[in-house]
Amino acid sequence: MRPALRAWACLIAALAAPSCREPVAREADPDTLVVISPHDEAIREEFTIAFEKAEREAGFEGRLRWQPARGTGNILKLLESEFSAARQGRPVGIDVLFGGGPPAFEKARKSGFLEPVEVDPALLEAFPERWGGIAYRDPGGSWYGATVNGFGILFHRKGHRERGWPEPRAWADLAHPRYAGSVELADATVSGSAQAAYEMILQQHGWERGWPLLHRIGANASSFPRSGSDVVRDVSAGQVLAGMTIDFYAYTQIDHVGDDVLGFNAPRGGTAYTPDPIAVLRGTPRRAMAVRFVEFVLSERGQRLWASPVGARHGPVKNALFRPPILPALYGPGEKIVIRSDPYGDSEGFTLDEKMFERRSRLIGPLLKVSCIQLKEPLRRAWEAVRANPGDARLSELFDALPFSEAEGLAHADALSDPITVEKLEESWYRFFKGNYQEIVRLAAGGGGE
Amino acid sequence: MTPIRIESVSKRFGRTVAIDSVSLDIGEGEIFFLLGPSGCGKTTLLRVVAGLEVPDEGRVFLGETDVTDLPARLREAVMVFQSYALWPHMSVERNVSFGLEVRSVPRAERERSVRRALEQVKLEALAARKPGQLSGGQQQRVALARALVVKPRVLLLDEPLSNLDAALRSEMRGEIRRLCNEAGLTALYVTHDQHEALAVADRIALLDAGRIVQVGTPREIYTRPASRFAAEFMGVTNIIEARVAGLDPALLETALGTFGATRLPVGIAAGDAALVSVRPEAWRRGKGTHGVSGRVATVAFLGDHAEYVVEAEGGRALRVTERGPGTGVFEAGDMLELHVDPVDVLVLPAGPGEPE
Amino acid sequence: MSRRSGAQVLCLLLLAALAALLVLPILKVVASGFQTGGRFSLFFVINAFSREVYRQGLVNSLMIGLCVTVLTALISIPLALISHRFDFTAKKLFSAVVLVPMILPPFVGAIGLRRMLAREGGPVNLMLSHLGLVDPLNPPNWLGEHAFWAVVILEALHLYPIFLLNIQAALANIDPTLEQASENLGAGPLRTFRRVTLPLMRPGLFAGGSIVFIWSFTELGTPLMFDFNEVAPVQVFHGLHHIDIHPQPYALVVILLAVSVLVYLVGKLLLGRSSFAMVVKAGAVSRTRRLGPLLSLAAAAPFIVVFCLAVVPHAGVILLSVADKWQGTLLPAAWTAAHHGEALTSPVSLPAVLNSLRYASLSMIVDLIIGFAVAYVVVRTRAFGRTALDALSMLPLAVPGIVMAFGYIALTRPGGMLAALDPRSTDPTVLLIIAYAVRRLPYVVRSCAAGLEQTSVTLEEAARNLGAGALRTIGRITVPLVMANLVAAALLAFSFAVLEVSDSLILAYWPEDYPVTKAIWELSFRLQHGEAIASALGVWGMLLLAATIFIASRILGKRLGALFRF
Repeated sequence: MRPALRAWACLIAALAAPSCREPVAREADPDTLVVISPHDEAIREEFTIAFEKAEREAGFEGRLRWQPARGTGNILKLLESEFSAARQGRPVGIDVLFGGGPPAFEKARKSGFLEPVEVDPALLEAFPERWGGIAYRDPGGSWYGATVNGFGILFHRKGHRERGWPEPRAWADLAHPRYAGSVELADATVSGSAQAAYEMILQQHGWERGWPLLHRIGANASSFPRSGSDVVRDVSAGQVLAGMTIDFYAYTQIDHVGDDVLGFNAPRGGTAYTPDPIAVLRGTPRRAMAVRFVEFVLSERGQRLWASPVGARHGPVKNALFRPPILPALYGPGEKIVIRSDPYGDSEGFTLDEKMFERRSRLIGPLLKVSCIQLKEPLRRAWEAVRANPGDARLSELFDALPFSEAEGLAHADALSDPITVEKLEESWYRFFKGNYQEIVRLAAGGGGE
Repeated sequence: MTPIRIESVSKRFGRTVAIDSVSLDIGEGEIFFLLGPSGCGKTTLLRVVAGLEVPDEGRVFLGETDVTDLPARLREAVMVFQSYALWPHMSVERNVSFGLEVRSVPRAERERSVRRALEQVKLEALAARKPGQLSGGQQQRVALARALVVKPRVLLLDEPLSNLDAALRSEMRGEIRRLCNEAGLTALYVTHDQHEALAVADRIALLDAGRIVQVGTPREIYTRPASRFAAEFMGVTNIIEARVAGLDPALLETALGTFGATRLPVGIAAGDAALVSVRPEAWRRGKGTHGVSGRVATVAFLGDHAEYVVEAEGGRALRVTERGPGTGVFEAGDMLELHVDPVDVLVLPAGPGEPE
Repeated sequence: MSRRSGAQVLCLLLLAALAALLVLPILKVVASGFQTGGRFSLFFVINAFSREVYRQGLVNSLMIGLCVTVLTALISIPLALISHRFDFTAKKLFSAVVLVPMILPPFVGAIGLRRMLAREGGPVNLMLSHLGLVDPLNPPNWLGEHAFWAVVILEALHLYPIFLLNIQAALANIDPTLEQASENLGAGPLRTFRRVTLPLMRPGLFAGGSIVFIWSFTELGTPLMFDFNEVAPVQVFHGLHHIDIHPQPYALVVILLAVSVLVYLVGKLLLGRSSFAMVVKAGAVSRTRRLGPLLSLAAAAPFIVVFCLAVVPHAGVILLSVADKWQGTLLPAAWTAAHHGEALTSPVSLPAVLNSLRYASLSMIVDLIIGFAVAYVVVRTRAFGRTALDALSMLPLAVPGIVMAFGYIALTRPGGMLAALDPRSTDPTVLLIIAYAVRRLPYVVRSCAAGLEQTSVTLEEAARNLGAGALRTIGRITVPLVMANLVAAALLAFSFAVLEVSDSLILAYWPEDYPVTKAIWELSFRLQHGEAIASALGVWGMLLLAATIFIASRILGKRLGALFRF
């Protein structure tokens, strides 16, 4: 009995022991940098290996700790929680924000979450401050572009071939009725990349023509997953035939399943290359190390991790990352990279209005959420009616109608921070769209009888 | 017409033989008992008749019909289960009327019959109760009413009194007999309690290890058991190994001396081994022609009678019951002279002892 | 006197513990649902009904709950009756095999099913188009257009074993002579079923039905995996990240809680009314009909069909885990063991496996200690408050996992009562152990109570009579006597904790704290091999759960079913 008891006690102690490891390391450890990031495991791993190596070489002992957060929207919400907690006296436990798209960083900057820092000017000289109308770093030093994202259409090449469909080359192609139920869009309230892609559609075509286009692509959608990578997964699995995605997701997956199955096109004149920044968070106790990490990411050594083949000098150790570096030098002749994009080479004449992008970023997601995601079934039936009566302008007009003008929309966007206002506004949109969809179905049924 | 006829029925469960080629004829209006120790196959035989078990061999007839392959529900051989099997979710009334509903008896008539059946078992006041609210004896009577109300061809009773206390048991014995006789029912009744069988049965089949050991009236079985097993199962008895010393008059030589007897088993010859069975109450006090003497080892005084264990010559222990006035005057250590009337001496074939 | 007061103290201590770990989080959620900016407000609760999108989410959840419950009943009643009535070749095997679907949380199954049902080149559509049943150029979009039914079917195929075990336990509780008496009085099989069997198995139906309903009504992982967003638990989950500034999810959770508790109470009430103390008398031979080879096949057929349908997701998960290339073919074109290697060694998954083992085993120990103590107080003592203790320990059955998880979130928010345990800033081990232990407590209490009830109290009295103290008696007599129940309860508590979804997704923030379910969840979103590695982890989870359930069923036999009842 006694030895058995002792054995049990030992077992329980052994099980419980790991839970006592590094008590409150998260806030106190001066050598552990906490990075919140939507980047995937492969990126996290390569940067951890390379940065920790660089630290050791420079005589430091910095380590990285990641807090993955799926979806840009979530990251912002998490930061908001974190800083609202900080206002109640608890220190912020996160040092660096790495990835998530410019709107997120702009919002974070405006909310006062970001700490302006100065990095080695020699590093900054190597890449432009702006490109294609887009800032590649914050003039005040609040954030720095670390990589760029292009947007495009990932499509199931095999499925297209079998149906004899042409490859989708422009955003508008995805609004074609043949794609009904065969497109997938990410939920822009959660996915920053989706938000960017939708904003580009709006800017390429203007609000008046862009919104109906976007809406019709949404009507074609089979589902609205929470992140851009889900779109890639589902196109790849054959669940849908096409989807909007960030270029590097597409390259990654095409590399995985083969270009006989999948294809990727960047729409002509329809994409800008937006930076994906890195920033230091306000109030971090590890500011110096945070700056070192930012400088590492902007250095040639850090930049080479993005697109060099596995095993190349300063390249990734385990997995190729397929992301366009922001450093123009790496696109030069003689550089071997694993992607086809060239943000500085294929200048398509698309210039992004960043101010508009930023202002509307709080609006597009919720609007599409209400009009397409929450009203999926009524939308599907209305869209069926519209497609069945292509000549009926009444239907199209109703279908493309918006509950507010562009100007009103922008006013709404500024008010969308109080939870009760959010609930009330969204409900009014909901009623508006639902009413229209039902009216379309009713009109179409009546029209069919004539 | 024979209401129940069982022809060479056998039933095995795996490697266990539950019934071994049993044949029985049960007469009209007869209360027929299947008696035996637990595990002798009597309940299995009853379930074969009910159709709840399918025999491996043999046929079962109810009246003129061969029912061996007939499903239980078509047999009209209604059973009273040992556990009563009253449906806990139905009231007493619903339990009793179930069989009539199955038989599509019109409502008015059904209600009348149920009322009459409940009156018969004196439960009319409890008709609305659930079985869980009744005592054991009351549940027993509901089970009887439920069986009787459908006026079955034959009534099967499986240890119906085993869950009742002694007083209730003896009351219910008379009750069951009265109900069966009133309805003129043929009943097949399973029990392991020989008193119950002796008290209620018209005839008894004594079973052991799946076989029928003896069939007869209660008196025949008690007074003329055919084997050591039968003698011992029907009550306490003293079995003494003996050798046949004379045939006419019958004389048996034992270690305790010579016993006279009035009957010998058929076919026994002088010099054959035999068993002498003497019931404890058959011993008389005093010296007789065939006497035994011994010392009283223990005394149990039970009021109307006394039980002794008497150590006879050679250390042989005899069980002796004394009744009547003057009972219980002996004490341990007293010397006793006993004898037995040849009429009360049973001679059984020696044979290999019946397995218990 | 001192023994009584000892029991009384224990009872009060346990009540206090359950109140803190169980009641407090629930109250906190309820309170948070009625607040705006720290003040009492009905806005969000009313909003949950007045905004159509939330109303629709609740309606969809209710519909999922109802459809899943009906479907599980339709699947399991025939199976239970067949195995109750007939004895056929390999019956034991088939009876065990249909329990297999329990070994996989449905959201992991969803990964497999998503691949099996993929529109373009998914094996199911390929098979159907080979058979000429669907148009290869316009194959049915199972997941996009029929997501509701995909969720319902997947959950039903996962949950029917719980229903089945409940009915089987109820059927086993029916004295066979009750059915024989009916047949003996001339009733045919249908009438016997309708009038006798069905009413008597009603407790099993209500018990199984309520558990399945509450489970599926509040299920989070499956609709999430199918991108079926218009369901209350998913809306709650989506709102989690801005919970500090937008309390709408709390209000939704309050409604989920209210409905679950209502269903539980209604089930209890109906159960109470139709529960009959039945003692199966010794010697009452249950009569199963032995079937010949042909009829055996007919009897086994439903088992085979259900099994084959139920393991489609599992098959998908297993195939994904060993597929090297699987694009547009019925079976993978090339095979590999690399994903399993990765699953067991990668920096995300190995710590997750170890974390899960740690969380699960510690929560199991907590469960055993509290569960046994509760059962002991309830069964063996007359301490004041033991009825309340019994009811409290069963409460987690009525409270959805997502509600409890939210309660812990609310309690550990900065400024909350347990802010020191905030999973965002500290090691979540303690919090997860508490959360896991609380969810599994009813099963452990029930298992221990069953053991205690089956063990005669006289055995303990004999020990006391010989001079043993209360602790020695419990240690030397009681515990060894109920060891089988303890072991089975421990195994179940352990394995279900390993595959716990709601608490794990909501309470584990940091990758190094992830339990295996959250790792599977994270991995499944990774491009390239993410799904495959997630599936490989899922396969290991399945093996673990299969082994524990197998051992538990060997120890408990038919009583296994009794653990999943209320």
